[in-house]
Amino acid sequence: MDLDRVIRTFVLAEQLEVHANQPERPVDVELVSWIGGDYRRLFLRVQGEQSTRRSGGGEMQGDVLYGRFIAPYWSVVAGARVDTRLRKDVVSVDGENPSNGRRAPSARSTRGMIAVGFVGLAPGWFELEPTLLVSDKGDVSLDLQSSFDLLLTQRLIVQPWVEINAAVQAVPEIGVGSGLNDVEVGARMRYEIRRKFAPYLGVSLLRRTGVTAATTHNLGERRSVGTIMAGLRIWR
Amino acid sequence: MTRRRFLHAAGALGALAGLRRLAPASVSPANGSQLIPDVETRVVGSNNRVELVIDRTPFGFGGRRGIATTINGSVPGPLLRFREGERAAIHVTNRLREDTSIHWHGLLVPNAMDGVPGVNFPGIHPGQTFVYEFPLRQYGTYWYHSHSGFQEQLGHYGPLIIDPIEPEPFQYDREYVVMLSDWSFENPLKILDNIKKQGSYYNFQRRTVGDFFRDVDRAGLRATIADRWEWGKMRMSPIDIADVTGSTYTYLLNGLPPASNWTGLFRPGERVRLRFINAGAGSYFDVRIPGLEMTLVQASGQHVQPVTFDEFRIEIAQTFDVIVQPTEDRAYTIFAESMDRSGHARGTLAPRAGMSAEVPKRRPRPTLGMMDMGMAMSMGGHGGMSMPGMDMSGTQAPAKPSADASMAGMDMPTPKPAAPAASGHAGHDMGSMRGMVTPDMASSGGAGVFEGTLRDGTIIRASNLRAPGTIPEPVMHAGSTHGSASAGTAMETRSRLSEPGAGLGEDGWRVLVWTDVKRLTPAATFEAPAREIELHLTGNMERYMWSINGIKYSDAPDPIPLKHGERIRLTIVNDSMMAHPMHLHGVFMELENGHGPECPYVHTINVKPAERVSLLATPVDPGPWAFHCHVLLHMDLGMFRVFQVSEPDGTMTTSEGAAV
Repeated sequence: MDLDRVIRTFVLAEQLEVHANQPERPVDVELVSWIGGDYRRLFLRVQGEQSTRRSGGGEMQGDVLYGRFIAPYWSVVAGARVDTRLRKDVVSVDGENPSNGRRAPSARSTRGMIAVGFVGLAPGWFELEPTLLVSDKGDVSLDLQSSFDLLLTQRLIVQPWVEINAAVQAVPEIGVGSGLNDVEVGARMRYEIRRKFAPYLGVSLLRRTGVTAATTHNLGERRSVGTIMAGLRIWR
Repeated sequence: MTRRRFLHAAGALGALAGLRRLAPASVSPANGSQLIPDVETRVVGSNNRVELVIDRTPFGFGGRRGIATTINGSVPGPLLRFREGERAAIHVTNRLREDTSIHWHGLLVPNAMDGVPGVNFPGIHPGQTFVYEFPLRQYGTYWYHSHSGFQEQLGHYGPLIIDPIEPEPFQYDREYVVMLSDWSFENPLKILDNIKKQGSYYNFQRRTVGDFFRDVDRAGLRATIADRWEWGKMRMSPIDIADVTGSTYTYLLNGLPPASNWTGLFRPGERVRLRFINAGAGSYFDVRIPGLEMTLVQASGQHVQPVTFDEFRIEIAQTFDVIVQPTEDRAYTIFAESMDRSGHARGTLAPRAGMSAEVPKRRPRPTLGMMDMGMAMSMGGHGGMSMPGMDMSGTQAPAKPSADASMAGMDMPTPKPAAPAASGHAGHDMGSMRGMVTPDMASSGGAGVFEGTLRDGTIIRASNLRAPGTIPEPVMHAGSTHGSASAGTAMETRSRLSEPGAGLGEDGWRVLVWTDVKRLTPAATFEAPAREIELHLTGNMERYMWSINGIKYSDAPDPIPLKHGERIRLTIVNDSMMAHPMHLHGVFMELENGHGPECPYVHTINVKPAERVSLLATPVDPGPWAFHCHVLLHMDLGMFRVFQVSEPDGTMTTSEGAAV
């Protein structure tokens, strides 16, 4: 008995994918994991993107959150986020002549943030992870992720998702404007060869808005980015 | 003989659990009678002395091999057969590398012989031999199984029959044990780990986009969207019928998979007694024998008034003895579908070995309705939820107005209006109750009978109790929803004993329901309960947590105190959306199904989703007794409590090894 007290470790590579149509051919990884029991869990989330081209940069974001299971479908979480961006090149406005372009914010920028939020399941079976972030400089932002499983068959599953980033204050160094920054919607269609092993294909559309869009536009990035991806979803 | 050869021989020749005692001589010799001693250990040594060895033994079928936890080398273990009034001496030797135990399911034994490690005794350590010795105070069909870890899932179970002193009130020409169970080649710990991380891991019958459009065709777009939203709002799934399914389980009949076709022989015209035992770790079975009607003669090992039907659902850990009379010179299939329809066990009754009959197709998996969620009342206002024609209709149908059900209602002496405290959880304020109850308080009896809420959320009432033997009134859930361990508390719970259960009763044939079952001889004295003990079964599928009153056993170490010889009513309320076969050790319970003194005895009772079941009991054997869900995973994760019965003088004794 006491099997309910076993400490379990869950590691889900929700994304392990190549963005096939992007010039940088970035590889994108998202790990969602927890360790703990029924009521108390340590959540670890890692999201990273790395260009496979020599010119390209990357970014990584990691969360360490302590969670308490407070309601049937909800854990309240609190912890820290580290956000690192790496740029190897200066990017031009038109993408042709780097010397004409403005300077990129920096070659490498790292932000530390305090994170509080929820991890849970909203009515309608939506996985929901609203996270409020306060940076070491006092900037407040909000990150909201939600996804949903739609079963075409018992093994062929479409997972639409949305991610919304908003900020209270602008942080120009990293291209963050105030207000709604960007919205990304997408869908991945996976085939569960096994429950724990599912290759997938997906599409997404990132739309930057407001100040963020203008800033990043000046940095040579497009307002809207459509992505086609292929990858694997695995867990243990 | 190796298990493999044994299986092969038994599969080919049948009569795995055939009993020579009642079988004509013509059946046995040609059919490998040398096998029968392997399963019949009625005579082992003398004075009912039986030797059992628990070991690991290769086990497999269909080209797959695994290691079973076996009793004397087989799955199921040997049939133990005793006579009422005698004494059993069972020597159990543990050859495993871990502790083991045997619990005699349904037997009234002294507390120290009940075999629950951590409750009644420390368990049987590797290399040790433990002697179970107890008087046989009852007759009937029972079974035995490990109460240690996942051994039961791994094959550690077997049938047990106690022949009555008195002649039985029915005749039959031969008999077979039909023991149903489930087997997986996956390690049970791995199964648990998978399901802990994804509740629907083993469910390959989930609702798809295709189902959505089929429902739209049948019920219309609005109704379908409303239905999906109702379930979505609750973040629950109407197809959560079984946690572990045929995607990993193979369903066994007397230890054989469907392809091996266990066969019991008969001569046309004979009356055949089938002793059905559900030894599944997590599977309910719906049993029928197309072409034969079945007559129930015993339930939970006790005589009942004969009732005839075409199909029954056997809850986990239950036993039903039925008599069939095949008249034609042909084979009949014993077909046992798992409740979620993800697989089946199968055997054959045949006049000659090697025959088989058509195996029916499995029906579509059932879909729970809002009634299963205890939403019946609240749904009245929402026209959109009636969903005519949807596949949930079967389970949503109101209780059949069968003669028995309505009689049950009429039999009732006018029930007293439910006391205010009866409506759920008045006073379910754990903080203020902390430390409020000691065993002496509850067992002191007399003027100071305890009434209130125990630390673990169990409600105890001593006043305004309704008449004994009557069916509980529907009750709206009030107060606490049992915290985060409990998802989707039923708003209203009521008796569902007249309902066959999800996915049954819609096929145009008769299905056994509990309101049909009456004790053969009415109780001479049928006392009213002095106290009512109410527990709520709770769970959260999202994290795969199981508990009672929202509290896992590991968080509720205090036993629930009972007084020796006191008449109690145990009310079990299912606030989860899955069925739970609840078993109380050490005492027979009288199921209050509306038949007063004819209420049947049970050792295990299924509690459907949103159901309120009440049972009467008079515990006399002192000591701590386990009370738990017989779904192995549910029990192991916390749907478990201990009831402590005081000594006749009122004191409480804890048996050794009680520290968990």
